[in-house]
Amino acid sequence: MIPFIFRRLILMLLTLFTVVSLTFLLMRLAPGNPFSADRKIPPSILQELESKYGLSGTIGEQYLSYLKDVIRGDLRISTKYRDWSVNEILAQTLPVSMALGSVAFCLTLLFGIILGSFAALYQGQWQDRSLMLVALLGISIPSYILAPLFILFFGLHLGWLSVAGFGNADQWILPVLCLSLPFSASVARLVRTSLLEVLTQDFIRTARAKGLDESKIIIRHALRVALLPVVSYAGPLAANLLTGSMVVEQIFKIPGMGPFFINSVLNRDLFVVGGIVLVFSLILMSLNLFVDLLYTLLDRRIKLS
Amino acid sequence: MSLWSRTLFLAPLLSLFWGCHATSSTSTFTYVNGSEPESLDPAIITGQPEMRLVSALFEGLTARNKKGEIEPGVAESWKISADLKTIRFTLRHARWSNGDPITASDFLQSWERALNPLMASKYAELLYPIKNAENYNKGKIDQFDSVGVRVIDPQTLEVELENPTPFFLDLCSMPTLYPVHFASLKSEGRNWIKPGKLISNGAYTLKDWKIDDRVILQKNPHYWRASQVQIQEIAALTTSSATTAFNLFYSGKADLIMDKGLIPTLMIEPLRKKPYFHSNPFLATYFYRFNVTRKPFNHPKVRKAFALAIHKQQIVEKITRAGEPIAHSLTPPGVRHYTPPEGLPRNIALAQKLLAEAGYPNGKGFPPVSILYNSSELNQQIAVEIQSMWKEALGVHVTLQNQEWKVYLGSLDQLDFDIARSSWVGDYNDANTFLDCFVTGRGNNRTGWSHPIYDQLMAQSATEQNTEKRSEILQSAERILIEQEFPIVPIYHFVGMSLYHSEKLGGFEANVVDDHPLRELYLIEASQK
Amino acid sequence: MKASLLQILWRDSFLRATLIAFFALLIIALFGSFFLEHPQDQNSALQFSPPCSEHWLGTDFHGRDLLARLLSGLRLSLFVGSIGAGVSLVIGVSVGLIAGYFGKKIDLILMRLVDLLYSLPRLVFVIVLISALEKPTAHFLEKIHLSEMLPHVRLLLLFIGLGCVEWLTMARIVRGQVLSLKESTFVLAARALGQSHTQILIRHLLPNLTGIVIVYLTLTIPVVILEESFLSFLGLGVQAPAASLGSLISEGAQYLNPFEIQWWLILFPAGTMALLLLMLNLLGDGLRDAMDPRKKK
Repeated sequence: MIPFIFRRLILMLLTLFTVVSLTFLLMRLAPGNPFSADRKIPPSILQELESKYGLSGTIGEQYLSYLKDVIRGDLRISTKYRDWSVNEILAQTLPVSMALGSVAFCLTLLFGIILGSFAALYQGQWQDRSLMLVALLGISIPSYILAPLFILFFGLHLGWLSVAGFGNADQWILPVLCLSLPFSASVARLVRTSLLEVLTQDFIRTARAKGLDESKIIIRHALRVALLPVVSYAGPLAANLLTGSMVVEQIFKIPGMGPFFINSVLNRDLFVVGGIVLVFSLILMSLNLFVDLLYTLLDRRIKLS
Repeated sequence: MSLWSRTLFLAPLLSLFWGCHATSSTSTFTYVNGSEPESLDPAIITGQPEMRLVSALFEGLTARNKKGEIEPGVAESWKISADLKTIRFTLRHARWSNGDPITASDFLQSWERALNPLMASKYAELLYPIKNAENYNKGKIDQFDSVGVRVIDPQTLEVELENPTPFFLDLCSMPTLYPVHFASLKSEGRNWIKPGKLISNGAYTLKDWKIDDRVILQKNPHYWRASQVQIQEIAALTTSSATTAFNLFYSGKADLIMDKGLIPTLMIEPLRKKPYFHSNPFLATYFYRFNVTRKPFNHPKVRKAFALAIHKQQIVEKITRAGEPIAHSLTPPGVRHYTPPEGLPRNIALAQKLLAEAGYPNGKGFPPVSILYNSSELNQQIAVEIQSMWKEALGVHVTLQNQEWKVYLGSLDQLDFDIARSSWVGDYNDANTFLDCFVTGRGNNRTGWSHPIYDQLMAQSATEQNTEKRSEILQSAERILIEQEFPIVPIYHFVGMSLYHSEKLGGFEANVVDDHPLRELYLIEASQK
Repeated sequence: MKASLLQILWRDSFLRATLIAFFALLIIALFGSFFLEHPQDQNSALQFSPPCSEHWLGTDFHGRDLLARLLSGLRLSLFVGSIGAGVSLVIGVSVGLIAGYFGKKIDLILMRLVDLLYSLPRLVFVIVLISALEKPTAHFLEKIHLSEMLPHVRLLLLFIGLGCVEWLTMARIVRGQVLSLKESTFVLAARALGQSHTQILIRHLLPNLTGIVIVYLTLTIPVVILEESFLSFLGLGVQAPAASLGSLISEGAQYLNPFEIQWWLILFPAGTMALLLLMLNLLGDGLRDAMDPRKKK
């Protein structure tokens, strides 16, 4: 187990290195100067700015000095938001994104598992068919259309929920729903398929022969095994939620990393982009490592029992 | 000021005597400020959202009032010499938010800081009217002593100008010329600007700053006219999305939107009929640039043909729809001491004739060209519309090309475009802020256009002391720009737009500079109590 | 093989209906524009006309016929979806084949790579990629005298970008298949006959993968369409005046306001999108289920 974790950690470091280098080089080679503005800047001032932000000299030199700073844990100062360092920006925006993301993550799994089991219970009947159709429809409706519709109806028309911002309970509901609903649909489909497969297995037949109630069989016996694919889906799910949250955060004006990321790419704010990509990758990779460990543990326990 | 509003005006003053508790408990005023402030450092900022906040936090020698006029700020009075080249400011006994007195050397040091090449201030050129300021900023001279700013005594500052500059007092109200607190700058380093640390001299202090969320301002008790500042706490919400801004206002989460960019263009039609919609003409122009350095727009007749074929009326009626006046001149009407030339109206027959004379009858053989615009719904809609106008009138099919802001700016600077969308917002209330852009070699020229007579007229206007004569000179310069040469086609003049309930919010007045100082605002309900 | 796939779909009455509807949509998308009176006319006097006999689905901001816009958007989305999925197919199948067939170290490295990419925010890279490479690509095209391609630079980058992030599932599935096929008698026989690796891969393994590849291709198309629409929302999708379903929807979403809603601008594009994705997903799922050996009773 420990050498496995060790190997994975090394791999993670290597990946992070590649990710940071690629981002830096792409952003630096991209057309558009991070300092250009509405009003043209005299070349002498531009030079001054570039050297101040470590962006003068050859691209190789710039890259090496940036890498050194990153290794020291200094993600540098934003070229656009000149009063803030990238570390400070991340310190403020990351917790918000993490809070939104993790709540949506749990809710997605919860919805998905409940709906999926329900559909499996009524396999082939109208409940199952209609649920799965709704789930498919859910996958097919992007969150950027769901969100404005929700805002219009619940926020502006009925006035029940807040239309933007983050913090209060009424500000949480809509973004979390918009973020988790489309993905719950995927989870539900996954759970259903996997449950149906498990339900044909011998130990379920034994349980049935014992005369146990079908819903009890599903909850007590089948689901435990059937959730394994869901566990391995957790990694991709997190990645999807992360991209989804960019849109949702933007629409609901949530001060997380998502809108910051898009804006920073467009503003050529390369240090912020570098920092956010680094954090995104780090979170996803750690989560994947955790999921893999969990999977092996669960798998072993299931095999043992 | 009516009697009614005067009593309103006095109400908080009286409440000050009755005790601070009553006033400090008034609720927060919330407005949508726009995109995340790039900085709050007066020497660095360039954008409107930043300027709104910074001019609430700091104050220069002069200040703009709610009418957009210049009034005394930290300077109590000033004297202008007979040759109009020297201004002597007398400072009032004002204080920083920590109680330190504000002195003339605060201004000197701050201007030195803004002009210091190491500071790389993008708006440093606002200080260029000061003698030798440009040379110092460009590193041509090392000593600040030769720059025309002198401290006579702690309350007196003398400024020597390169040329008579009628708008210098306007410039004194701009953020780049604000004073900053040097003691905290030294002791706090990069963090001097952070909430809790920032020492400012304006009507408000910085209470909190949550990235991409909000900036919270709190009334500065040390401000020299604190008694006139009525709102105790202001929350400036951050969002660059007009839809979000509107949703916040509509659901009552924000009291004011005062930026045309934050009002969804698609909703303007129904919004204009609402009582909370307010608009005012303002000094800004939307125009198209031609790249005169390459074919086919190096030919003045082609440019003129394209300019005359645009149906500007249709654009303001169908697309912008906020009652914008169409523009035949770059300088908007309403600029102080200046009447812009009439320009040329739409004339399709002449446009076709000119295009034929230039060698492209009915658009035949016209090389492929494109309209460049920075990605935005409105720019795209206008470009799509103009594209079809040119096709219909001239038989020329132009393609559209959108680029993100920074890439677009890069393309403009490198003259890597055929036709490009642009706009210019007057920095101060004078025709010079518009017309100076097109002097040969200016950074904001961005067309490659160069005209010796134009340059000569602009230089002449800078030294002319008679207002009327100066206006005539500027006018003949502008005629070259928009009646003969057409490196640009003005399309329409912006109107400022704002959303607020006038029965709840006072102190907000329409003005041509579209500047609405936060310190002048007051809540009507709160004052009536 | 294709025929038998169609047969599989044909057997289930629900899937049969879906299949027919899908082809109907496809035909409308491809040829519908020929029957329209005002394909791309623009007349802002007709701004926001609701659906009527002249304009069946109404008109948009510029007075353009929404039906015409929708058909060209549908076409473009299908185009981006299939080419993007095609790129992912080429990469995914090659990686899967190589990993599965050669096994050992190569397999280990390639599959680790797949795992790794799975765990990265891939769309984030597409965003950076598109935004960074757009202008250089345009200049490159100009240099090699392909100026007529210029308006399509975005599309090109979308194909490549989306294709490059969507091949992972394909690679895993193909590898799994190859692993089991590798041990089958006909491959062993071919090897015994001294055929080269390339020959075995192309002649024997590839044909046996067609079915599963088609299934996953069907399932990748909706994903790519959805991702393009996501990028359109962020302003990084297809360029105006061209439209995709995604750009039409995000345009329509802006008309959602509490005063007057031009409902046709949001309902029809979103409905078409949902319908298209629904049908593609249903077909893909149906095929997958039908081909699953465990399901055959």
